[in-house]
Amino acid sequence: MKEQMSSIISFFINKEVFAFDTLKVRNILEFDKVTWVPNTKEYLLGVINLHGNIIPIADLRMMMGVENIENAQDTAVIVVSDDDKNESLIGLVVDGVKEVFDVEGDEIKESVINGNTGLVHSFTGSIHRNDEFIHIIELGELVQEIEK
Amino acid sequence: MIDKFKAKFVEESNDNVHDLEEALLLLEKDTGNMEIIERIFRAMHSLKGGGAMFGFNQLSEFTHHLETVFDLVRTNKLVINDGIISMTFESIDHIKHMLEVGDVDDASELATQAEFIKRVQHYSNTDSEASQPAANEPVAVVKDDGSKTYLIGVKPNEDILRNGTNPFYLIDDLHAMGQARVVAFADKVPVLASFSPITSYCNWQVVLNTSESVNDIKDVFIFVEDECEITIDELGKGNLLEVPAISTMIDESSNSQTALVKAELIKAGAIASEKKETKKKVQLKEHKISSIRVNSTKIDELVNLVSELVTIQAQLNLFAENDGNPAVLSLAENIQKLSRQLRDNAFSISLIPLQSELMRFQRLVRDLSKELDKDIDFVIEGGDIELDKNIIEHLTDPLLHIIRNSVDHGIEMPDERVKNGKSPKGTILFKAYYSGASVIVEVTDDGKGIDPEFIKKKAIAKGLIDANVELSRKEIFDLVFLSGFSTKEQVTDVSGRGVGMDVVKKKIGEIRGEVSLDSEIGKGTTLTLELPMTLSIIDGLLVKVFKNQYVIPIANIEKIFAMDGVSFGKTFNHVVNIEDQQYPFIDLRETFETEAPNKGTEQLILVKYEDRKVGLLVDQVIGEFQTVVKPMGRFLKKQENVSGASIMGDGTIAMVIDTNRLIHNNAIKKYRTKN
Repeated sequence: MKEQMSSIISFFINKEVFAFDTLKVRNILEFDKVTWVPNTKEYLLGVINLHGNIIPIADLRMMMGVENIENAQDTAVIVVSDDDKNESLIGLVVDGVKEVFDVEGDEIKESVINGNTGLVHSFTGSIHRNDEFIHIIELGELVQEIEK
Repeated sequence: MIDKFKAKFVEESNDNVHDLEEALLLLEKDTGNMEIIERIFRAMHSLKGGGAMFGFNQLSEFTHHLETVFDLVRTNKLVINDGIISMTFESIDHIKHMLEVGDVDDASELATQAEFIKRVQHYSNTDSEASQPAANEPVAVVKDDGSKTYLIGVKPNEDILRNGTNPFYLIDDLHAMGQARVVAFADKVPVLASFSPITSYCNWQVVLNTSESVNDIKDVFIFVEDECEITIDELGKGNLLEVPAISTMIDESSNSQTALVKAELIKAGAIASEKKETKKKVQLKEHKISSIRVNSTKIDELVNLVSELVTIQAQLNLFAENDGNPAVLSLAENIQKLSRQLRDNAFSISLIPLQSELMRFQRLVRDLSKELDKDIDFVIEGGDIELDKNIIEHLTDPLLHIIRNSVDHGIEMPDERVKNGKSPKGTILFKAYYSGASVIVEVTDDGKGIDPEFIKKKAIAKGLIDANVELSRKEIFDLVFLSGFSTKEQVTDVSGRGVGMDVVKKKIGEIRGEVSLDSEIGKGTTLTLELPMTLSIIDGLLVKVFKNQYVIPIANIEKIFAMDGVSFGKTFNHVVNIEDQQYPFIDLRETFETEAPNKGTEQLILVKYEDRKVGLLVDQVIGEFQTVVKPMGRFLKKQENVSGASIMGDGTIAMVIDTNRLIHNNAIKKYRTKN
């Protein structure tokens, strides 16, 4: 698949492991109070103030169709930008951030996803490591879904 | 290093080209104006010199030939005609192109260039004898003393005397402004038997030499504008009344009762002043640096920093108040004063006059109307109005679209205009003025107008509205801005490139502006844009709705009322009765779909919406705040009810409500069919 990918950041959603390309990630925050914005989609929880910028927050768990959403100590916000512009920054809520690690290009295999992933349809690929599948989410598609 | 200089040269040259274009448009209207010709010559000269210095040799060579033509004009060896002007316009485009690409080796490019130069040379090679003015004629020299001479026509309506207006006083006022000679035309006075003492029969022409401006002259007639036909034309610089030829013309006109002709007077005046031009000595003016060129990103940065400062300062104020230490409090107050001044200053730096952008439109109208064989005058009023540079940048596309529409669909062909009793020359009036905290821009054409019934039918056909809804005139014109609505069946080359008025509305909406349309069949169409003066800081009223805080721009607020639940018990159809007036209102808790609408204490904020007032129902008014509006980013653009968010002193976020959009969306909901 993509040879150039070198580092990914993995996280939990409903006990499954997913990941983003590290280059797209700007910040990782604790999930805290969010200012709710009226008349928006349900999974858009609102906005937060990040160093003086207004950042929208989307609940990735809700987008992926997780039914029993619980906010716990580990619940985190991963702030990403798909085109490196400030206006495209968005925070995604996940059940917990796992780790950052390097991958070889040929380690990434085509994704085979069983079960429902809700509004998230597109994956760059999957990695099999330590008896665990890590699915890398294609950010561009995800962002377009939110923008719709 | 050299690249940096080159970039600077290109930047400066673009200014020169811009200046050239502007001067040329002026020259087209006033071909004899030596000052404009000088200006053109100077701009060309700088382009030539700079081009050679920075390695734009082809540019330099080309401009040299162009300059030769204007040198001939300057020295009266060549007379400006349409051919030269059109050639120069094309040359300007060519210069722009050359600035972009620099020197080229491409053969075809070189060939076109050589071809172009030949065309330019054609003008400088023409036998100059024929067009040379008769310079041997002994003429008096007119001194340029800073004054100008005007031809003023005063033609009162017949019933002007009924209002007690004495036209003689107007003439007296003109006399008081300088030296004037009046020609009275009394040829319409009837025989005594049919003479009515309360009817005015006369009209006058005044040749006035004054150092006052045209506007001052206009002011004389300010109270009789509607009762008189006033024309004011500039004849030339200096006191032309001293020119014998003009004196004779005035005498003749008085004797024979034939009107003075502007063109003839200008000609007589120009001959007299030409001599002066050649005698003019070269003067070196003191050179003072009154402005500096700053990269616009630096200004953006400055404005951003100042915005940050204002936010931090609000936090400091909050802290000082809680702390209660008088020393800290006074410090905080001083910082507030300073940051306010700094803010105003920083914002004034980023303001630029509209004029700078309008040049392009003038050129556009000229080119388009030539292409479509229409005759259109583009008149600008209020070009000196200043707007935030970011707003002006966002304005270009919508204005382009609006003006294209006016040229293409609005203004009719000349013969059609004559048939409808209009002057064959159409007019597009661009007017800008301040209104409260906003700037209003109106683009008016005197074309064929739009039929509201046609719009309605079309909207019904397209399924945008129900066939049986009752719409006000304004609501009908608003339909034009709905997406999926484009009145022109066929897409033409000029307008209608697949984008409709909904794009205009969207673009204007992005800078928190509003757009509306009004039209009268046969008379023309007006598009009105209401724009904020700056984008980033507003005075707002902080209110609370459910758990959230919102900011409503103070500029839109009319009044605030405290309401009790009881008076709402009687409301019907979202109309409330306050002080014997009925106002429609929007319950923000309902609109924002908050979980549990609280019906305890509430306050109604009356906001202006176009020509109406609409109430917004909120839980609580907190107070007045000055806030920096931050964009919500690309994911919340669809959310139209809020235009941005601001960060409060304690770090929490309050959303800024776009009241116009909110009310508009709620009103639309009422008559727009589902799906």
